[in-house]
Amino acid sequence: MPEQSNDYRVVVFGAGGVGKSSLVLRFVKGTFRDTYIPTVEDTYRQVISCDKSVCTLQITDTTGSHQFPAMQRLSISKGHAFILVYSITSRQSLEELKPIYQQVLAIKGSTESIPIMLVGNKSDEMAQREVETKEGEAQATAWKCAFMETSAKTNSNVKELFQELLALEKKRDMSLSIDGKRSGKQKRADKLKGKCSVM
Amino acid sequence: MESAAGNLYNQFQSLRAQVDGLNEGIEPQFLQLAVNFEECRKKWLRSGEELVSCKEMLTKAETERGALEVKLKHARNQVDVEIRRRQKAEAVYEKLERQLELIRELLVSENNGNSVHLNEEQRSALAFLSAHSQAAQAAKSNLNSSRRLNTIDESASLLSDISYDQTDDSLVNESVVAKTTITVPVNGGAVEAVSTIETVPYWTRSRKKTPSTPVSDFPAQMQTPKPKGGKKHHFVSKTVIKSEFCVPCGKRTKFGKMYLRCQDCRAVTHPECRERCPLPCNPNAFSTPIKNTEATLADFAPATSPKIPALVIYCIKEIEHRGLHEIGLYRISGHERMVKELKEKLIRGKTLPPLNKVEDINVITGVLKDFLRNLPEPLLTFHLNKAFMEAAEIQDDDNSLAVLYQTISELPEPNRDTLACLMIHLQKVSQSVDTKMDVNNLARVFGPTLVGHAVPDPDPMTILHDTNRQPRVIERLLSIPTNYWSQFAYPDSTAMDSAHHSVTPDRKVSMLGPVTTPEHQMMAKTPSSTSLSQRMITIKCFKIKDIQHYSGIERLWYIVSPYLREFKDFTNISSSLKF
Repeated sequence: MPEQSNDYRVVVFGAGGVGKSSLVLRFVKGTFRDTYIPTVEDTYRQVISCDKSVCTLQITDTTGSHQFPAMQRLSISKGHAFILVYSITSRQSLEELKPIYQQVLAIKGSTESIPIMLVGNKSDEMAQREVETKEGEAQATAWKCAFMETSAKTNSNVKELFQELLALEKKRDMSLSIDGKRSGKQKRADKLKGKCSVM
Repeated sequence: MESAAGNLYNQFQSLRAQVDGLNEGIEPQFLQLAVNFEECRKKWLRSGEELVSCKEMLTKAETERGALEVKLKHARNQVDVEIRRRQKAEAVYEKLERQLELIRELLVSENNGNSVHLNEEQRSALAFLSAHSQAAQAAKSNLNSSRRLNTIDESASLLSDISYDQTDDSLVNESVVAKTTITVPVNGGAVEAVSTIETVPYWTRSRKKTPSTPVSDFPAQMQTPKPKGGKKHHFVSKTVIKSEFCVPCGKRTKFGKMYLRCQDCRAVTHPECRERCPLPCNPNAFSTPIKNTEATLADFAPATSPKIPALVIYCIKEIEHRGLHEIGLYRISGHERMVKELKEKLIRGKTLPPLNKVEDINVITGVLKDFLRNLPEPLLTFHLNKAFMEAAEIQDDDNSLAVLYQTISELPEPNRDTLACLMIHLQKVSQSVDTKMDVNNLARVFGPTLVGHAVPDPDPMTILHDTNRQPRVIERLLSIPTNYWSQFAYPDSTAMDSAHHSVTPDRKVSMLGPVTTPEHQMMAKTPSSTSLSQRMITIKCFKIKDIQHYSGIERLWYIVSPYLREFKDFTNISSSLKF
């Protein structure tokens, strides 16, 4: 399959129940649902600016409840950038990222030029914190990737997370907003308006 | 005037003629009518009487039928009781056999280590132990073929008389003497065990000096095969690539050299150790726990229904015990390494690791999921995969379920029973609100694990496509009522009870089958190390009331237990045994 230049694929990995879907949904739809539904696999699309034109940001939300090597390999080989999510309330969820990181490393060869974000989600649940910020940072340093603590519930650092991820991509010049300042959400609204006026 | 008179006369005449005509025929006809009436009345009377008698007969028949039904019910109950007793006895038998197996192992290691403690007498007395395992197998096959009724004919003839108690009476009046003769020759060759069971009339029992007259001979005549006898190994020579252990000598096979492998029991041996390879060849002993990478579900499952691998039951029990309030049960995964370790212990370990010591319940759910996911074939099998998917996608609920029932019935027994057991369990999980795992969530988690794909190595597109369809199948399966699943998972309620009792977390015997290790195979040699000439041990033992419920192993157990108590005094190993 020829590489589609205006498709930029981000894959979100992490253990079950750490809030992968919540993060993605908060970013894409701006909403937070307090339900508890495991994901099989979902893909969301968002138009962003890339090299002074537009391209589609494709976010793949994977399943955390069961690791199927074949599916995981497929996602990794197709992905351009990766978000590794753990929950700060569960040390175990951070542990589980290790084999996934190794897998990425094995398939991509080197992680030098690949944007990877290590994300500690649920930063609003300070009371149940098991993983200190410093530990997350230390892990990120070991993996030579960026680190951030987020909360999909309180919408803290969610947009920043994706912005930073795109900023890590050195091969292309990408940003979330087409005009540099407006967010994706606004942009979509604008696009709709634009269409209306044309019609 | 005259004409009028004439006319009148004529009229009168004609009237008279008519009256005459009327008067003439009426009497006999009336008589006839009366007669007819009379006959009719008699007939009515008769049929009325008949009706009454018929009614009487009917009520009589009704009461008779009622009585018979009561009898039938009694008979059924009694049959049930018998079946339950038999199952209990079988369970006890199996348990004892396992214990005996362990004892054997213990004793032999004891023999090798500090033989000082064992005098010759004890040794020879215990020699039959090594003979037993093979004898027991022979006995098992014997008993299985002879003891069990294949079908229970529930026809009227069987029910005509409830005389079950009579058999009990006859057993009370007679006592049963079981004799076991074990012959241990000095060269270690043929070890023979012969047991006979005789029923002896009551009066002989009371006067012990009189020679007992055998009334009937019970089938048991068990013989261990001689070294050259029994089922022989079917060796094929191969070149060593992956080093394995030689069964007779316990040493590794060396890379590049030739070795022999039995095609049936997969035992490995050096060519020079061939003659010492233990007989008979037992295809089941080696197949599962030792080389398990390709072991299928059927290999893990017991041979009798419900054919559910012990690992599954064991994990489910523990999860239901303390996991039903965990948020995200089955969704959150456990520590990968701990899952692997625990699974390894459960599959290969000689003893069962106590699951209550495993702190994180997600490790146990992980083991269960990992076990099911890594079977060579998914639980719903490759060839029925498509059928299940299509059945689940039928819009009409009733039709969909009907097709599902059909498809479930086509599953192999172990798969069907295990699926049933899982579904009952998952229904419980879904009903527990605390887990936040409703049917939809569980279906998403278990879809890929249980349904899988139709081929061993699906291409990425198939994976993606199937992944979206798998949960639907689980949702449908979970909507099937629990009673339907129960008939497979717990074929009868007693089996369920016994499962509850026997599967306790602190049980020390591996649940994946009888303990079979290479050391056991060495045991056949130990008696030969004694300097005794051929010895005969005749042990008379015990009145056993009901032959059916006690088989060879039970009797041997009685023989062993006193010796064992002696052993207890100076071995600390025996503490690992549960008596």
